[in-house]
Amino acid sequence: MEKSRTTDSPGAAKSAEFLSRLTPRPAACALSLDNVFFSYGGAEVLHGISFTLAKREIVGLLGPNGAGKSTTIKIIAGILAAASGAVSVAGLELPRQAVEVKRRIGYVPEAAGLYESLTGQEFLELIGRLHDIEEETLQKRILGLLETFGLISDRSSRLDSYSKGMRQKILIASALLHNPELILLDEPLTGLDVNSAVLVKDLLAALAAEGKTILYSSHVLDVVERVCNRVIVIYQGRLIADDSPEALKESTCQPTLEDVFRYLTHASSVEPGVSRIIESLKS
Amino acid sequence: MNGLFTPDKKNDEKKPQAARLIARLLRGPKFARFLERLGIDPKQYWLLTDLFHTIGQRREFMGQLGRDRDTLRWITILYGAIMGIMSLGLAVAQPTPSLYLLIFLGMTAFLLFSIVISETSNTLVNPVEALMLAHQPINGATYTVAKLTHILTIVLYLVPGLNAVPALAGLLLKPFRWSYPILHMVVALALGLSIALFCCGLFGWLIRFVPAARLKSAARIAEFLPTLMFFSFAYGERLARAVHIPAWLTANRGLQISIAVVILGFAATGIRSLSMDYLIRVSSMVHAGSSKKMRTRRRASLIGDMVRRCCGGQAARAGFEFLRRLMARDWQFRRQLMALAPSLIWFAVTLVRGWKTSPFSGGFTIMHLLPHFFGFVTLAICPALAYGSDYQAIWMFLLTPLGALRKFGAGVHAALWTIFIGVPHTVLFCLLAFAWGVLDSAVFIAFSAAMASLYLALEIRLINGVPFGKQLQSNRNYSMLGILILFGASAAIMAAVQYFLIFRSRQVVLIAATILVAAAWVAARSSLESFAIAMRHQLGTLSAESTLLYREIE
Repeated sequence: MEKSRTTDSPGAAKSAEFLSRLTPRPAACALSLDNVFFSYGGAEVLHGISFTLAKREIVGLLGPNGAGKSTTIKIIAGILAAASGAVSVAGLELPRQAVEVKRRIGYVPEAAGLYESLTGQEFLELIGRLHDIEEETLQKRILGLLETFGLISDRSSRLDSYSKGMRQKILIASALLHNPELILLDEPLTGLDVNSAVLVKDLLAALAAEGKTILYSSHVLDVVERVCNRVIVIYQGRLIADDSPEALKESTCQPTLEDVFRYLTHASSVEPGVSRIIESLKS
Repeated sequence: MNGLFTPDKKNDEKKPQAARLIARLLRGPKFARFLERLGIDPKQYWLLTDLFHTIGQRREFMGQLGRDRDTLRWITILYGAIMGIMSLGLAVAQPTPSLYLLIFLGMTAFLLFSIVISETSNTLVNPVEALMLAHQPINGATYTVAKLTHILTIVLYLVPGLNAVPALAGLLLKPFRWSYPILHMVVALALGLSIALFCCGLFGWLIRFVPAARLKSAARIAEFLPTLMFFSFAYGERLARAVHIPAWLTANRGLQISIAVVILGFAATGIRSLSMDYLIRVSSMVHAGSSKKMRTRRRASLIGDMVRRCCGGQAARAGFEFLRRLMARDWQFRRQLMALAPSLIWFAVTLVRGWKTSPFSGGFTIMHLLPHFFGFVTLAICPALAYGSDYQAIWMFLLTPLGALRKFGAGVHAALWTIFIGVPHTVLFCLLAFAWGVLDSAVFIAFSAAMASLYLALEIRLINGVPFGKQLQSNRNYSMLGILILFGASAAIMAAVQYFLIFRSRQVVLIAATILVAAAWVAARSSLESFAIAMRHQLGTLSAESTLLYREIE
């Protein structure tokens, strides 16, 4: 965040005006987290996370297991309430205006339960109607999404008969159904075959071009590198890096984003661990 | 507004005209405006109500009594018949109309309170399905009211069902009043609604003020309230005398009305607090306690090692450790145990009064009933073991070699025996040795443990599948009624045999204990075989369901 500056000369005033024009205005800010803390029971998960997302940005959210990525996304989705700090989506405060925020976001959870006894069509109808989408529009969108994801022949099958990839497609479809402004994706490519994964990646780029803001959490770093124009790294509940993939590679002198990630998260060599596992299996 | 899913529309046509008319009125614009005034989105409310109804019908969520109409009807008929018979008997005795009304209101209140508080707790504190909707734009009021609608269904079924015959039987009372049945039903319904309101309000307060990590424990304690109510009925008068409640306090009508208003206000404020950010707290509630560090001994457990040696290897040890850990941690299982609380307290109180009298003294003592009480406890526990909070984790048993299930079952049996027979009898032996002497205590404990072991060996058959592997069902307790009656009868006969024949000499007791041990061993072998078959059957059904059933439902 830009700090306010005092000015006492015409030149300084001009440069301050120039700087204020560069600073994103609240209206252009799709998402803002300011000093967010969160804990599960006694275990503190997030320690003062702060970042903002401008409109049309595709931002990758990276971090090792248990770093607090999914918790951060859940707080933005209005599922969890931050213990302290400020969170706002399109100028709406969370958790106070959670219902309004939820109308504006699409969320693909990491490990989501589904109403297994509903069919794919019924599930999407339920979500669309909860978002109060007009019936004719809803049916058109459902048809379009199911056709795109190759689920049209399975739309009358119960979700408990769907494969993992099919369920993931239904989740992605349900997140896009109401044409949200901000899309939160937590490992969206899990279980998808190569063709579907390519489809989703192209879809993300197209959505960003349409003016959507995307926060994309994943462990597949080459996809993040290709899709995202900015990367945020969280480690042990703290934000440790926030820049473009290229800038991060340059500043850390690492050749790939994977190496940057390992460098930032102080990953040790995996070889001793692998040897230990093999030894314990032999014993 | 139409129902969400097509099957409901078909069912609507089958309903009687009056029911269809009520449904049309409820889904009409006037009721919608009323809901809006309460901060409820009517469109979303009916969508959610239809959703919960549909997934209940399709047996996806089976733990809510109000959505399982068949079980609800069966319970209403059963309890209604019992209260009907009692009312006819009572009407013959000609009590005053006010006493007659009070008796049935008390019974209705106790029964309804027990059922509704348990249902409210399960609905609000363990909202696993709410996670699927937590990121949808639904306000807390709409969601909680849609969820709690089934509590209203329970009240609307049970109250008229329980009170229909007693209300009509009230016409036999003197002085004759033709308006008595109407008055009886109106008061009973008002009481039922107040209880439902109170339960929802209570959980509203709990959800608002208790941290998510402690909410489930708090809910379990709240479920204990009907037991307190039961004991306050039993000992209320004595308690009132002991604390010297002044007469003007009980006689002052204005004060009574004020207390009623305060209680209603408490309930209304509680419900209001549910509507605020319930869906935001859902995730924390479901995962409550998951961050709690569990004490895990790195050192190998001595009993676990013994089970491995005696019951068939590591699979048996797995069963032993699995059961003893999940019994202590599974929320649904611990909730089910709350049903045992009244009988446990009653028995403990009676035991404290009479434990010093040895069964060898010649008279009938409470100690004659002790082995049967252990049998009763394991009878309540064994059928409950099949249900758990994390029933979906059963998939891991699909990968278990089928031969290992028999040994796993032996480990489960060993855990139950250790926790519910071995440890309590060891403690009792030490206590009784002080009062009766070591010999009497040892002989009695040998007999009691042998008897309880036989009960357990037979009751293992009631674990209908992999422990903690099924979703809790609303009809689970009611199908046990026949078995409970059978158990009561056999325990009474056995207690009589003990008193008249066995506890006349220590030698006879020892012979009887030896016979019981042999019988328990034979019964356990056969029961463990059938327990393994039950597990295999459940796993077989499960693996077939995911591929064959429900492929197409149209």
